Amino acid sequence: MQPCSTLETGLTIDFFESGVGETIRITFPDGGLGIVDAHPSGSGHRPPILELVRDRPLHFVCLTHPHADHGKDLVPILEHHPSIASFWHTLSDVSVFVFSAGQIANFRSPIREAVRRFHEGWGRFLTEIYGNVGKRKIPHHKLRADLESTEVAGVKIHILSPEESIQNRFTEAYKEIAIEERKKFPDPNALSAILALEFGGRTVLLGADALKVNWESAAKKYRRLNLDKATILKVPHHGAANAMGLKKKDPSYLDHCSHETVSVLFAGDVDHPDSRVEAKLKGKTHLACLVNGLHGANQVNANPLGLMIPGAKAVARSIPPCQPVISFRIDRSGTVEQTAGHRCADCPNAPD
Amino acid sequence: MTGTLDKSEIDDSFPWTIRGGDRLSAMPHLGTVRSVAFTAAVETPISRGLRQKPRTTPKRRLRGFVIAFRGQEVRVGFVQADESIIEYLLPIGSLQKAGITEENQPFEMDEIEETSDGEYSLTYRYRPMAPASSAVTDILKSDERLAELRDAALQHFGNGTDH
Repeated sequence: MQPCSTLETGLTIDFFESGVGETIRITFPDGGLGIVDAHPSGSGHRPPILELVRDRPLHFVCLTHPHADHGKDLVPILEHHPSIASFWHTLSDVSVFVFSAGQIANFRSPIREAVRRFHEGWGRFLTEIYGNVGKRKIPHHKLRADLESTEVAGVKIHILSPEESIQNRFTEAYKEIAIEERKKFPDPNALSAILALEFGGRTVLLGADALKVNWESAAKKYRRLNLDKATILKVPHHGAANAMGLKKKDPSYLDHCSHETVSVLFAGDVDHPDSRVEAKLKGKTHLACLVNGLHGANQVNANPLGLMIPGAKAVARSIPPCQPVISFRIDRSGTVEQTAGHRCADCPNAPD
Repeated sequence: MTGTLDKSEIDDSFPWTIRGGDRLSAMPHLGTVRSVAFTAAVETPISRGLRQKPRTTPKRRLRGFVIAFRGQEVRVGFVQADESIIEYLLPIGSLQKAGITEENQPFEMDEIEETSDGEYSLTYRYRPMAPASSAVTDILKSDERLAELRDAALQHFGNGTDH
C-alpha cells in the first residue's frame, strides 16, 4: 500500500465504461481514492475493479443508492481492499432493508420459482454490500441532504440529496413490506446521493440515479451553497426521462449546467437515454457517452423473441460501449483538462 | 417457457374491425393487441358481413411476469425453457385490461396467427396466471455465508454508529 502521495496536486475523475452500470474513481490531491459506485464492464473494457484501486488508500467507498448496477463491483472492494476509511450510503435503516430484501411478494404459478430466483440477486447484493462492511467493521457514513459538507484532502464534498423525509418514507415502506401490509417496493432511485465536489473553484456534479423529486430539493441547496455551474456533470439515471423536467418551466439538473459543462453519460441498455433528454443534453452541454443505448440499439438483437406487438421492445443487455474511459483533471487553479476519452461531437461512431 | 395451445382455448368470437390494407389496429377485445405482420394487396375495405370467418392458428404461448410498471410501459420478464429470463417493455394497456396489475404477477401471453381474406396477422392475448389479489410472501434462498453476512450487517448498522 502506497502512502498518500504528495506528488498529486490536482483532482482526477475517471468514468469507466461499466456495461449497464457505472464506475467512478476519484483521485484526490493527496493520492487517495474515492469510489462512487462500481459495476463490471460487460465488454471487458474496464480493468478488474481491484486493479483500479490497487495500492491506494480509499478515503471512501460510496454506494449512491441500493441498486446492483451501481454497486455490484463494490462488493470485492469491501471484501478485499486493505485500507477503507469509510463506507458511504443512503439507507436510514439498513436492518429493515436487509430484512425486506430477503423476501418478495410472489404468486402461486408454474413460474413462481423463476420469479423468486430473479429477485434473489438484489437481496444477495444488499446482503453482500452491507454484510462485508459489517464483517470488517468499516466505519459508515450516511449521506443526507441536511448534513454539513465534508472535506477530503482539500476537496469539499457537498451532499445535495437525498432528503431525510425521503429516507424516512422508505424506511416506513419497507417496514410495512416486512409485516406484509404493503407489497410494492418504492423506487430506490429516489434514495440517490447527489454529490457536488468543489475544487479549484470548479464544481463536479455526480447525479447517481437521482429522480426529478431529488433534483427539486437539490436545487435549493445548490443555490444556498452558491456553487458555480457544474464543470462536469455525471448525467443522472442513465439519461432517463424521469430524472429530468422536460417542460420549459420544470426545474432540471441542466439548470446547474452551462454551455461549458461536459456531461458524462452511462446508458447501458436500449431504453437509455431518453431521446428527448439526449437532445437537451446536447443542446446545453458537451455530451460525452461511455455507452449510449440510442446509438448502440441497432447493433444488438432488439427483439429476440420476435414479438410483433406495437411498442414492445426488448431490454437488451449488451450495448456496445462508445469508449472505455473518460477522465478529467482539475488543478488547484481551476484549470480543467480532459485526459482521456472523447466527446460525442468528435465521436467517429456516433450517428448524425 | 413456451407451450402449444389447444384449439379449443382460442376465443375467436371478438368483433372484427380490420380493413384491407391496414397494417395495424387495436382490437376492442379486452387484453388483446392485434399486430398485422403481413397484408395482401387489398384495396377496398371489407365489410364485416362479407368477410370470411378468420382461421386462427395458435402459434406459441409465452409465460412471463411483471417486473415493474413504468408510466405507460410495463417491464416484464419472459421465462424461457432453460429458465433464463428475457426482459421486454410492453405497452401497459392490454396487460392492465387483462387484470395484470401487480409486480411479480405471472401471466400467459398467447400468440395466435389469424388468416382471413388473404390477410395474415398475429394477435396477442394475455391471461393472468394468478389473481392480482393472491400474492403470498416468498422467502428468498440463503446459505450459511449469506446468513453470516446478514448478521454482520444487522449488528454493525443496527447499533447507531453512523456518523
